[in-house]
Amino acid sequence: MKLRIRLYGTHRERFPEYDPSQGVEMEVPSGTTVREFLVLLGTSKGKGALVISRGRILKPEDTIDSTAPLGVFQSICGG
Amino acid sequence: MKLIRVNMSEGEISVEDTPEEYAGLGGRGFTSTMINADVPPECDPLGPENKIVIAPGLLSGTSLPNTSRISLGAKSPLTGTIKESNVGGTVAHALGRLGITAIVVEGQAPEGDLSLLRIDEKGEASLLPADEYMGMRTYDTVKKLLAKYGEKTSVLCIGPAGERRLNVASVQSSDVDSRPCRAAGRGGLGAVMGSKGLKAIAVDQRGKSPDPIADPDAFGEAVKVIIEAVKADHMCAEVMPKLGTAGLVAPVNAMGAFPSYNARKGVLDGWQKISGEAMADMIKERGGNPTHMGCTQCMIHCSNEFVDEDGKFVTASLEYETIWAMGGMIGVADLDTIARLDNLCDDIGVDTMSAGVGIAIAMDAGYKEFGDGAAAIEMVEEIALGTKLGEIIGSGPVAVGKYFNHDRVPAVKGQGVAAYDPRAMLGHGVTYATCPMGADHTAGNVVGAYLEKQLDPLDPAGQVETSRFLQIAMAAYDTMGVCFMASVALLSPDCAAAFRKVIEAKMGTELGPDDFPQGLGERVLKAELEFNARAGFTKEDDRLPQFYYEEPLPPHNTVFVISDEEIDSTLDF
Repeated sequence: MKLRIRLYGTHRERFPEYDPSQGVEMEVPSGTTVREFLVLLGTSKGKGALVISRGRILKPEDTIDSTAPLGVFQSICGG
Repeated sequence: MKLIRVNMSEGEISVEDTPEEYAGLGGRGFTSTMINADVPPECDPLGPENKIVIAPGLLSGTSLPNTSRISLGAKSPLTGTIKESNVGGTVAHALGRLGITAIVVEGQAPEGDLSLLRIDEKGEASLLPADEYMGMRTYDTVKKLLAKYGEKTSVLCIGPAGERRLNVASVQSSDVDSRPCRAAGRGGLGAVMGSKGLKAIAVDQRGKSPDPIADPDAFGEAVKVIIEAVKADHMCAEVMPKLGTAGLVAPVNAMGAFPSYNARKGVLDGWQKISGEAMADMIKERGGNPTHMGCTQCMIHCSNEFVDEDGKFVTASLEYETIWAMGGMIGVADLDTIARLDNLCDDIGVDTMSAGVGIAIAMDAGYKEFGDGAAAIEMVEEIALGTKLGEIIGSGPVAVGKYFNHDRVPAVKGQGVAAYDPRAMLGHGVTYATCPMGADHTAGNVVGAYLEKQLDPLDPAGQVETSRFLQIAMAAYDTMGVCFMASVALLSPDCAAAFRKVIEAKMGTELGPDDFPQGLGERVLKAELEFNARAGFTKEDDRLPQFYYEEPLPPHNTVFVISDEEIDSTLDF
């Protein structure tokens, strides 16, 4: 299935031509979990990656919903 | 270890050895312990009985990086509670290098007198007339002080708002580029400094008489471990240098917890335009500096230098809380306007957060439209001009609500909330309600626990425990002079153990696992809670404004649901 993803923080650096208004498109197998998706995206746990969709932080075992907007963010502990 | 007492009533300075009971305390631990011991809890915060205690962290002035925080403590005119507000820059390190544990400013100068405290490279302090600085904004004040005392001078100063003794007045601290752009903003401590008749403290940075370190070799080894821990932390090593704290704008909006339009919504329309990512891109394109070192010995570089379209300096550093207060809360999705407001507040000597919340309340009450950036700039300028409206906004969010007869006032104990809505991030509500200093964003910031997926922001389970853990830890790290960013990288049990070795080597003492951060943090909080209780505060004051319990916040349409009993258990030591 095809996903359109918005990237934030240093995740953008993996895509030098990244356009914030468009995001990036990515093809993943149907039934892909968040954990698998992050591996496919090339991020690792050490990078503090998290996926937020419809206002909720998804759990690693959640299945990716291609119809929902997806954002990949970074963990920050406060400002 | 020496303590400088400045009696403003008599215009006299005395120097004494730091009392034994303060051994092992710096920063917030020092200020809160002394305020609790020596300030009458029911005194007028702007009267002669109040004191302002200024203490670098216990480790400031040592070779440990990220220890450039200085704490200012007093009874707050904004909240009526005990208050500690800490700030970065260069002055903590400068005082540490002089072996000065604290400066205690007491009494009150005769009405109309304004003085300057100068501390030279030998640590000699003198109180000098400051008439020529009267009414001056902070950037000009620092420029003039450096022209007189040399470039190697660190400055803490107040602006016109502090001289007018307004409740939202800040104390500004000069950064490594000698700009007074770092703020001890919260709690109106600038007003306390103004009430004493003290315009500025100018400290020579060339001191060479720091307190001895009990075991220098062990200290050096322990410092190496801490440096490696901070370097290994992704937030400190990667995110902060590139985006600064503004990196929070995106995830907090995505989670629907960015209080916008005076906390009517959890997402700001057009937040992408004021995100950390947009800011970093804009600064780079314009030739500014998105990765700036603001504080002495910083290895994180979370600061930035924001420039206009012509590449001309506007402000440093544009940070998350200000982007929220002068952006989301007032409906402004324009970084140039926010940067202008930030610089204006620094220059006048005003807390951006309290001012932003006040403006948001006025807009919510219909005084101006949300999103009217020009009106916001005018309103901040009015604070400096001393107009009626300026005085109202300068008196804090509660005063603004009363003036406009508007009851949607997002404040606890008189202090405006921070950039996390408690209806969408429940743990922040716990911290806002129970922090001894009113709603506070650093005292127990829970956002990291959500983003690290340790806690569900909308599920009541674990919110009280997490807030308690963080409030205790931060009280301990605030005592050391460690910046927030480094502190959160050191919260794990392993890092806390490594940090205990730093303290042990510095002090020549042995600490048990319960002594730091738990024991120290609880000790500091107990002193603060004791002061508040003697000042007449009760559990009933540990409550959020009613609208948080009743008015659902879009997009989650949830309300604050932690019970009063659970709230009361948070700091029930």
